[in-house]
Amino acid sequence: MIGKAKALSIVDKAVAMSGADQTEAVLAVEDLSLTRFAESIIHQNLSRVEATLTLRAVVGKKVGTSSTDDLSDDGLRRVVEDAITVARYQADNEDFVSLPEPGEASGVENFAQATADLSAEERAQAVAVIVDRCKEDGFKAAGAYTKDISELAVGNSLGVRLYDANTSAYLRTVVMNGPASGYADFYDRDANMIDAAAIAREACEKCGMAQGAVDLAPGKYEVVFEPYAVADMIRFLGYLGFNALSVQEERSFMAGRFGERITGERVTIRDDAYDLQTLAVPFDTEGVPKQPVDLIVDGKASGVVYDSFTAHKEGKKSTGHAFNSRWGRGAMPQNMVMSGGKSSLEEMIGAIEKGILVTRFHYTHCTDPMRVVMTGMTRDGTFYIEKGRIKHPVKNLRIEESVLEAFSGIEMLSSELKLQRDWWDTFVSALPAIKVNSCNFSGSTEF
Amino acid sequence: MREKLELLLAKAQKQGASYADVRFVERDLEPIAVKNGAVDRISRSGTSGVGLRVLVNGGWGYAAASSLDDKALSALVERAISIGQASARVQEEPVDLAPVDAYEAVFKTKPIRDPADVTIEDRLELLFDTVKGMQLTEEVVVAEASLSVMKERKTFASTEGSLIQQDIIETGAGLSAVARDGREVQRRSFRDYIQGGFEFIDKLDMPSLGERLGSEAAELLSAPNCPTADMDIVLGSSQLALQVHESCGHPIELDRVLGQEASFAGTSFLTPDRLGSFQYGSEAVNITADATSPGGLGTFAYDDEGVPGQATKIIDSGLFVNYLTSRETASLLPGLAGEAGRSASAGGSNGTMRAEGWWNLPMVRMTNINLDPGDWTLEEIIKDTKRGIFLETPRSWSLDDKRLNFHFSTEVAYEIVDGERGQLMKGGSYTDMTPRFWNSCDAVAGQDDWHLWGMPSCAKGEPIQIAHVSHGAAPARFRKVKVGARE
Repeated sequence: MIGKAKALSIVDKAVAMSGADQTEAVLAVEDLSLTRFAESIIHQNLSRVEATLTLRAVVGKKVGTSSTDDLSDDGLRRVVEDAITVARYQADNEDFVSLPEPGEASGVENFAQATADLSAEERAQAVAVIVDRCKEDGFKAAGAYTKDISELAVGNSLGVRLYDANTSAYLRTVVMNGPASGYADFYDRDANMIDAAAIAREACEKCGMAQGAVDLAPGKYEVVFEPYAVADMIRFLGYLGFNALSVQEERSFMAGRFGERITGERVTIRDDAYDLQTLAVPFDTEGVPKQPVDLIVDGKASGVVYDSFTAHKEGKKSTGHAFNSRWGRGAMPQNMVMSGGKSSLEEMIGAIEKGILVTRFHYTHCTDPMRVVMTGMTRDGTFYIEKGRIKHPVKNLRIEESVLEAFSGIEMLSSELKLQRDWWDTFVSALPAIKVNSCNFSGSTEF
Repeated sequence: MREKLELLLAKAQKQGASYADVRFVERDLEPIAVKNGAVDRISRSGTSGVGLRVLVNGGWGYAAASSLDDKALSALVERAISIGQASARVQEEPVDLAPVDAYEAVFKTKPIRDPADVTIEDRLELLFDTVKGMQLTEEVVVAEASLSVMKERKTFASTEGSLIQQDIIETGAGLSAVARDGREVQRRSFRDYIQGGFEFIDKLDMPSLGERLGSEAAELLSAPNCPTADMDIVLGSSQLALQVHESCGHPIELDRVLGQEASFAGTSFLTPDRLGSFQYGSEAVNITADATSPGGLGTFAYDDEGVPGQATKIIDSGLFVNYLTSRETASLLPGLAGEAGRSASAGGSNGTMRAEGWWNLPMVRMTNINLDPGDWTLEEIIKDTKRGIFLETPRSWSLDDKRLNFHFSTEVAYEIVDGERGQLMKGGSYTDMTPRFWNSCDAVAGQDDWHLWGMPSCAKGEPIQIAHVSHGAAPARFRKVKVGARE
């Protein structure tokens, strides 16, 4: 780790070197280690440290950015000069008002020493736990164990000066037996919370249940989606609609619909960096403290997240959701929490007369952003449910459905939330399992 | 730099590495974009660092860092070695590498017009003109145009004696026009890149292209919906390039076939027992992985294991005959696929190991995966089609985790009636199973309609690495494909 004092001194130095009207320096340091395994052996194992300083220089109403990983005095001097040069090439942008003023950022318990100390040897031991369990069942395991230590220091010439260090650990596995497979993962800031045996057990049990999948006719079904699958549905809402820029450009399903019901009334989604169910950083890459934002409340469109540029455009204050330090690129809800209900997964399955249990999705995409129509394949355990019981596994299905419409039919939600990464690694959100009364599947595959 | 790299390799060997390679990579990016009449993005970024890969007790270790001081480099060796030792603990067989000769070589992109000679002012002027063209249509609410230049300088050295320097320049452009009428949103876009210089941009005529895209985006708002039916389709070359990427390029990555991407990107239906015997497509279908295609983003002299870039036939008159391989996976192929595997890997690795930057380890990646030209013209294909749909420009793409079932949607569709291209339609999409689809291909257009599309956006691996690849394709026809929404 680079540490608070050194990180802020680099940021201070860069800001001080600049003769621009306003200057912002953002230092992001990532120390990432990752152990990947496949066919029950470790095939990739890496450790890398990246440190990038991004400098934003404001000259009048012209803004330029430049970045570097050369943190020497010469490197900082070059990046400052580059950003100012780039700014001078710009035309005035009348919508740009100012870099953010300092605000009070609350602390968040987001650093776990156990994660920082997690060694390659310990990651290999966790992998061995999964591999050994799979050998007992005659299955093969693939997956990855990731450890991340991130540091963020932000300073600007208006007095913003903030530092945060946080950790995350993520272990996941796909367990395979011929065409059948099962999946489990666990994400937490604290590696001590990761139970490799529990992950192995869940994935192996799912793989065991998935043997002998049969065809199921495409069509509309009642569906229970596990949090793994819900993450891919929420992802489309998050990046397509919950940011102010997409509303301002009228590309968002939220545009012109605030206060209107856009999903079922059981749906409440907020972004809350102070909710410890999420992996929180208390301020954004502009150094603005994060504000909790209600996105959908009881099914009604409520709000979106802002960075300083989009906020100034509407005469508002940034909610602290700048996605990177370049103005104009929008903001992202990086700590989404979907409110749960009162049910268990078993109760949701028990409530289905004829339907499907979906473990997770693969390679989803959106074909209609205004309706949020998603398509993608199920994977690692898809099951037919009849009279409240899982009857048999089915071959993977292609979903082709509006997320807003599917969420309009949410009838039950699990009381437990799971910290869940989507397939694409866009967001990590706290999510329940859900039961919807109708979802369209348009095709299937051979396994 | 040579001394520093050789010192690193010597240290790694001294600490127990039976093999090691190292890459020093410098990469500079200059993205510039104009949106709705204002500069949206203009920046410069530079990164440099070193990545060290070691084999210790038969297990892989990899460590990377941007700092090149002696202390940091010593720590880098220690980290890579300890990681390799940890890998070896969960290892059934030690890693074996197919042999490769040692090379000392230099490869450089030769741009006709070096991007460094084009001022920022000139780039901005072009972008403003392009956006202005898009905004001639009043329904266009978001008009964006961008230019991108990447310069990469990479030095590779290995304990087997190779020392290779490669200097790559890539130049590209992107345009996007979003139209809205209060009810719906439609988008028309263009994106293409080349390994080369600004001569590529000069040929594009971006202002005219922008004007056309803006007008088409608006036209789509009132266009009828694409029908839902089983019908013949003709794919334009940019759509077909993505089709090749997703349904052929990924399934032939041998690391993926071996399950190494199972937990993220998935596996492949092209299992080793199918090598040399599986009819992937019709006889009209010929696909080559060609790291020598002029101007391709997947063009290089040596991959990141020091293996020469080469052209490898993948699909030969419809027959599946080879994979994309690394030294490690090529050494496994004979054991996996018998005689067909021995034949496919006879020359060792076919040279597709590539890493994004210094911070990632190399993986099997696409080079330029090209659908070879056929002997039709697009005009002849349309004329020969009684009823069908012409589909062009990717809008969405999705495949199952073995790359069998796919679903694509496109920005534009045109009906084909009695051999004539008819009206514009929106909501074009099609879905099928990969082998059935490629076996239904009965016409591929020729060299005059063939284009090498640059795609600097191929995601794979954990952490995700973005590879720069290209795909050459000419329009082709596919019979009785499921078209349209099935909600």
